[in-house]
Amino acid sequence: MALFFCSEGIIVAAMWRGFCRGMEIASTITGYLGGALIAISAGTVTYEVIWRYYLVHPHTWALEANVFLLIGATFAAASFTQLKRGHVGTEVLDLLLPKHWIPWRVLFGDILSCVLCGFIGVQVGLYAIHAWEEDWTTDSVWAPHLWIPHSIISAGMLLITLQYLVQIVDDVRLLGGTQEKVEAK
Amino acid sequence: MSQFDIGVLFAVGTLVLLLSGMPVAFALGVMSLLFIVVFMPPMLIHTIPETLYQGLDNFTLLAIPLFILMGEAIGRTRASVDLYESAYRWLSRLPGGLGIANVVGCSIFAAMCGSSTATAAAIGSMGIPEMKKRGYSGGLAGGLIAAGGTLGILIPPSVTFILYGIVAEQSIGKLFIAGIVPGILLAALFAVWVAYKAHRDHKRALAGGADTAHQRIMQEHFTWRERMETLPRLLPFAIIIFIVMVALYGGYATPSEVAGVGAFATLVMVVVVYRCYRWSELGPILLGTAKESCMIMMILAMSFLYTYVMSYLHISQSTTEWLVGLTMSRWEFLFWIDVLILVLGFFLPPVAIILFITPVILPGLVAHGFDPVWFGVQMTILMETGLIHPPVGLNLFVIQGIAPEIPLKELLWGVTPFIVLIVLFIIVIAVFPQIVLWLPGYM
Repeated sequence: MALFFCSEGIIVAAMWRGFCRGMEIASTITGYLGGALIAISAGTVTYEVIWRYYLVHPHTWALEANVFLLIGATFAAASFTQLKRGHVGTEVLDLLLPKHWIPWRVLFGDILSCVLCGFIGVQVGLYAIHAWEEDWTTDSVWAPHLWIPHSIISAGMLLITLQYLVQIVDDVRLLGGTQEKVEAK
Repeated sequence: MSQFDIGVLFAVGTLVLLLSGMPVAFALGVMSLLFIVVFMPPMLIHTIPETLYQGLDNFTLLAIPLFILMGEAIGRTRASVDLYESAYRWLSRLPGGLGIANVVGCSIFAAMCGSSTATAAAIGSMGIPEMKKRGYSGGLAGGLIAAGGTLGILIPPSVTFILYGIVAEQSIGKLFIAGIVPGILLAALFAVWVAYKAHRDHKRALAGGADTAHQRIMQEHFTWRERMETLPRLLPFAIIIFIVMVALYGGYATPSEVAGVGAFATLVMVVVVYRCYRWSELGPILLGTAKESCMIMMILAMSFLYTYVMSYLHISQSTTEWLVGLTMSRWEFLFWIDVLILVLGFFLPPVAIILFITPVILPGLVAHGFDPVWFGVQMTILMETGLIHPPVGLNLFVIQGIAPEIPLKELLWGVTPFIVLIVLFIIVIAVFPQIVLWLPGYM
């Protein structure tokens, strides 16, 4: 029996490690994707400027395509930015709190952020499904489908939620280590 | 609960979450969500997707990631080394020439990217080791780069001006132009200080018995031939700055279009001129751009939710009415607003400060007769101090990353004179607002 639980624990740990590695790879790929979308946007803006000013031939798609690229870049890179802890925050409280409270502070912030991102991810996802079913488009001449930007926002927020989940587990592990050290003292 | 109580709860709650170390973006998001759930009709939760999308559906915002791409492309390649080397060779004869070269390097880099941390990181990674090698104290070298980096948000293009322009509904082109003269003057002030300090340190070192080797290290001279051969390497920068300036100020393109053309031209430059076409070279540029712009854009996205809640609960309107109704002179009013920005600057990055307080304080400032463009520039200069003093001091973290051997205490002493210069400069532009406004007046 003990052997069974032990081997089950090992399998769960191995699966979790695999999930963490998978998240790291996914976040890095979407980070590259975010940067690439910005570079593509630079190209399309330049193309549009040349076309409009020198060939006097504006396109109807340029503005909205670039806005979609901007939204895509922002939300695609969200989980990579979180992977690198790049979402800037103010750690003033760390100067005032006792050292062993800091991991609790980090855990608290990560849980709140995770819940928020998950909630927004789901909300926007439901909206995207609705937009898909109703065939909603923007008001412009080009009239692209509205489910496109909303599904990108939703996917980005859900990916960052998963990234937070990985970091929350890390926080808890760190907390366990800190508690053990405090108790040992 | 009265409207006042809700407003106080909202402000205090936001500050607590912000100071708790949560990412600024998500702190704003959590507060908004909490207040939607507790104080607003439940069905309004379903407006969150629409609010987020409508806020981001703005072509002007595209300028932010594109200018960041420009800065990353130059900062992560040999382009920044060439820029730095040229400035040094041309300015080496001046007292404190190397320090001045660093200020000039920061200014030129700032003219191609809108971020302070990017400017400090790009020039500092070359400038600090070089200055230390040539006898500059760690405090002066680190302080100079930290302060020089702040020019990134003042000399156009500037991410701060773009955000302020969007929030305050002011012309971003006008804000960019308004930042030119103060940017150049502040850079000149920094250069004068570093020349004086380096000259004084040098004299003291010689008086203290330093040998001729020290003299040789401090004052490296270059021949005219050595200087001239750097000019072709400066040409691509000159072309990019020329394209950006002509397109923007000639009225051929909007700031976002200029950012797109500038970013594209810079990418072409680093690929063609600097041969950076391998994935190992382009990859970090893309990742750096994605991370920096995502951080800012996420704050912006959540701030749309935040302002929506503030507006729905009449918090912003009530605060504005209260501010406008205060009986104090215009200078008193400005003084307290500046104190507020300065204090917020202790804890919050410029992006958050702009989004957090501009919609509330601007009507009061306008009612007291202050020009919104002038205030945007003044606010940006004031927020520069927040970048170089603790506890947030983003540029200080950058310097510590580049030169961990410089103790924080020495670094803080090094930046102190620059903070004093910035505060003095703010007083000067308050007394003589024409310094800021005369150039945009020609638009």
